Amino acid sequence: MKKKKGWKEIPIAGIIDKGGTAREYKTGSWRTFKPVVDKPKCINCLQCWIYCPDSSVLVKDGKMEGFDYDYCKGCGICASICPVKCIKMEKG
Amino acid sequence: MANIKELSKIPERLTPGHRLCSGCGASIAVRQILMGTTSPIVAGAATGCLEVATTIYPYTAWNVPFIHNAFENVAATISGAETAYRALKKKGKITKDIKFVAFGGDGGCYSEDTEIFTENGFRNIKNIKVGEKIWSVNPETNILELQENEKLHKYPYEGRMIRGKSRFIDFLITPNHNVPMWYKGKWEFIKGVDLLKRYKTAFSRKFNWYGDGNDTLWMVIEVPKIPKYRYQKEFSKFDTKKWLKFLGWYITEGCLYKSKSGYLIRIYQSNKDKKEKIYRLLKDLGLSPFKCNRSVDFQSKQIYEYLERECGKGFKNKKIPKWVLSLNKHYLKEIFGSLIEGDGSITKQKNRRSYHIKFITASKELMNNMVELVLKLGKNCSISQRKEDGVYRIGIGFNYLNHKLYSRRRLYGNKQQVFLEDYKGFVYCPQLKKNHTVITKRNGKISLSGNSYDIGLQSMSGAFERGHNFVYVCYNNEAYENTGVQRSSATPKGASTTTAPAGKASYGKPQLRKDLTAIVAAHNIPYVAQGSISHWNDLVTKSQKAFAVEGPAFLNVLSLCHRGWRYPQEDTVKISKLAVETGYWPLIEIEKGIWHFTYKPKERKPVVEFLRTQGRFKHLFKEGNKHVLEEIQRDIDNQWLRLEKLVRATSGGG
Amino acid sequence: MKLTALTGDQAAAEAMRQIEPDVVAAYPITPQTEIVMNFSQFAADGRVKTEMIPVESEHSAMSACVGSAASGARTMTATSANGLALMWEIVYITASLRLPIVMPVVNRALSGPINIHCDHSDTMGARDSGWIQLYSENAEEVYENIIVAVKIAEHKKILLPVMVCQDGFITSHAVEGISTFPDDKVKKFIGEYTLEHSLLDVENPVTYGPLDLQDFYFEHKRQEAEAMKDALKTIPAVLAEFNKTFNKSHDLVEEYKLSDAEVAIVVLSSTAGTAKGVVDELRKKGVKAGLLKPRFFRPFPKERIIKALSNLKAVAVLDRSDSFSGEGGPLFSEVKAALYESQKRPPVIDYIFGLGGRDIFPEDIKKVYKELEEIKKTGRIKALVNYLGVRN
Repeated sequence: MKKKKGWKEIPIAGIIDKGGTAREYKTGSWRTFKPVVDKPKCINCLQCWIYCPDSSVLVKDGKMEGFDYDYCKGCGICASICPVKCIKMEKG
Repeated sequence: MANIKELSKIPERLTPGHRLCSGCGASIAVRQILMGTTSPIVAGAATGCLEVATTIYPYTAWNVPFIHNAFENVAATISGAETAYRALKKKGKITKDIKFVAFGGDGGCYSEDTEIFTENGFRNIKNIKVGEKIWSVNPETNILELQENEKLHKYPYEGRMIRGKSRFIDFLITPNHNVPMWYKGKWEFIKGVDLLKRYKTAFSRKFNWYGDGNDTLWMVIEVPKIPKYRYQKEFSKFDTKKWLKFLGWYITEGCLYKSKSGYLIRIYQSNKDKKEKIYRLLKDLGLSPFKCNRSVDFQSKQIYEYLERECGKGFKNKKIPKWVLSLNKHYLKEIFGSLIEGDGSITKQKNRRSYHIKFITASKELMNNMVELVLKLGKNCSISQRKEDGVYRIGIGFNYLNHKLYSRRRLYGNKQQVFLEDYKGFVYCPQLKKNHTVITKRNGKISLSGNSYDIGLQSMSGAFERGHNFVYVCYNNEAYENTGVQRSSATPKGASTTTAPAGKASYGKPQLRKDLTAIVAAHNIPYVAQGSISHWNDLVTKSQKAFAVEGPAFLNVLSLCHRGWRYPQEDTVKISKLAVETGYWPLIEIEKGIWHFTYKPKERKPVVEFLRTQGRFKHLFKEGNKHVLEEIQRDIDNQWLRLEKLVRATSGGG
Repeated sequence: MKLTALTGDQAAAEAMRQIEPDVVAAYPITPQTEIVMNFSQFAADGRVKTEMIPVESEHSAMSACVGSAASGARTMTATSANGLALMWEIVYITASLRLPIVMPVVNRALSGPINIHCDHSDTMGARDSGWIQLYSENAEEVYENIIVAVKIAEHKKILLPVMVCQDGFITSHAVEGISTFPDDKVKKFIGEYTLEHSLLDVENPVTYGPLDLQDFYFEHKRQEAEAMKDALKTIPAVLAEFNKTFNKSHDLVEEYKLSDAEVAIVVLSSTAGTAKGVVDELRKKGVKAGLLKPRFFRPFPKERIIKALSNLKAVAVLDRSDSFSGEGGPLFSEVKAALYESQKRPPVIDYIFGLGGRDIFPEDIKKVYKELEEIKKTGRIKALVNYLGVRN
């Protein structure tokens, strides 16, 4: 556990002076089930990417690369909407 | 149109690591909306799930400048930021093109035994349908006219109601009901509870009628021709007044007989004078009558078929043709005269120089027609029904047309006529487009009676009115979800929330949700749309349009919350798709005042398919709540019809 | 230096014109309306390039100011009484976000029953909000206070919003001769406004107004408390610079004939003007009367008050609002608390006066001094909290 900063060390006015610091908080630890993709079956429709509430589907050059397990909360929406059912929810 | 592969190249502006629930609809909505522009964005959010879970100090999931101020003022806050941007841009201190987006959430009747006089006669108020025409009176001119019922309101009510009871008037209404009061020749509205405060309140039982305007003084009735039959005379025209008189006789005393010898029309009458009158009338019309023992008869296939069609055959089926009732008083008087001479009995009142007429008929339709006739003649009546045979008795009076109700006992005998009465049950109110008066009947007495998304709305409305260049997104999870699923004005009818829960005495929220999209459209801002996270292409396109437009834009996005709506988290996208497919959440947009659908399901699925998937509607599937499901389906259907009408009305040039 | 005849509201509008803020979002309320009206006319005539936001309520006014100030624009607004009450939650938020907004507040009684005339219940109600509070005796002070307030608010060591108060109708609607400064001198004095973390700095995104759980809220509030302490230390330097530039003598408090006084009253705002006349009269009669007028109520200038009052024989505090604690008004409580730390503690009594615009006359103030003379002689206090001018 990082030691929390005191009032003399944090910026004034309660502002968070950098963008996207939430990336330091790994919500992947919330999971019970995790999605696993069967790559050969995937048609790269990218629907899993646009419906993921946690931006945890990795996409590069228009191709679905996998999941960001640091943040994936295991909600199962991707498996539910995949048109070719190539995503399975497994324990982990 | 949006290309998903192109969208995937836009850097994520809402990073992962936020602490919204897994499977939350709000973050899907925000992600899709932020893909609507590649320009730099300044975002604001109201206090709620989105803000609280994305900015827990010192972690922020926003990779764009972001401000949160308080619960109900994100629109005002972003107005300030947008104005500062314009001011500094003018000074040359800022050169970039920046887009601003604000994410916000959301925040008198009759008793059931009243009958309403519709174009099809008196019907119980519970059964009044939308679109049905109801007899109403113009409060300024006191003229009878039909008005369409836009909606029937229904609420459970337990408590005190206002009862008005006298010899001629009977009503049972809620205290806040609008009561038309006769004052200086016009109808003015007061509240039901005011009736108790006033010592006496005047009601006029006499209404005006000048016809539909389609009649003239010298009309002739045309009778349709038929192929020549034997040697009988063919008729084409009759003098209107005489014809109407004849119709009155036929309706009350007439019969039709078909035999080998021909088509016979018989008017029964034993009274010698009246028989002579009828004989003369028929002769004048050129009908070749002949007197019999108890009747006056004549033969004509043409007239037989005409009467059968227009006025009915058999004593239970008689009716006054609709076109007759649309004529003005001069003509109506004629048919009224003979109707009364037929089945009416006139008694001279004792001690008064007036008459009281009783009219008897077994035909329900004729009874309704008679009431319409009487009212149009500027008189009034009361109705009773004989228990033994269901025969209707209409009592027509020429007096007491200006009638007063007293709220206290008067010195010489008369009882208190306006008082409180306990009531438990449902109360109803039809909603008319105009006039807001309806003719009601209760206990046989006919009288005229009257007839109806929260805390951040102010700041949003102000920002829209001032025309700031920003996008307001209402991420609509239909309740105050963040603080524990409390009811808001966006909560749909029948949903169970913690402050309007379903229980033994309630089926959840009784009110319909606010149509926020229509309210915003009324601000005449350049772009308003309704979207759903399930139809990402539609939503991203709408977001692109919203960011591109100059001036305020509004997006109402259905953002499911599996915690509050109670469904398995992985079904968030599936259920939002159902919301669109059942018509529960229409995908529409209003561009510069022109409404259109951006997606219409080929055939709307029944809304129960959507309701069934969520725990917040589970109680509606129990016995006793079926009517709520029907109401919800009706509401969705009406809303859909209304949207289609708006689309038609605003298309074609705007 | 130009001599003009202006009311307090017009003086405020004139000061705002010379400051020329980037954004003004205001909602009208009597007796502040003239400030917004006059300033809107300046904007409509092109005399200022300010962007006006005609908001639909005071709550939205302060909210828009927050959005604007956080975007790096110099922002001002104005209000009174119930308008201040309506924006109450945002007033606290503004101070917590350390946004340097300057707001002229025209003091008017808070409703219940509704009254549009002067008393200090509105700004006294906001004394815990974290805003700096300046009270002005007359139209000229209003004008000068607003100009110096901008410098104070934007000072890098302070960064707190400032309320510049004036008495409703008494100062705001009475015409006085005031001397104004040249436009360019004012602009040079207040300088440019730069915000370190702006919402419009899209290259360096910041988040304003995050959620604080139990682990950080206390630290943020401790910072705010420290800021108010720093303000007290820094304000004299800013005032000194103002005095040098414009040849004035502004200070944290104003002492009037206090050096050799035996009895004195402590009072804020316009009543001090009336009292100064009474002091002069009594001095002629040989009474050693004096007057202390605090100009800054927040931060509370404790040291100066102790220094000014501890050598007196009797002190009366005049409060134009009641804090309904049963023990007198807010100024009285704070002066008493300050004197508690002093070695010498003169007897202090309270007079609550002028609520809802009830006039206070020189005769009433003379009565106060008479009472103080009694206390000086006998050393006995008849009543700690008195009500001046109310009918029994």
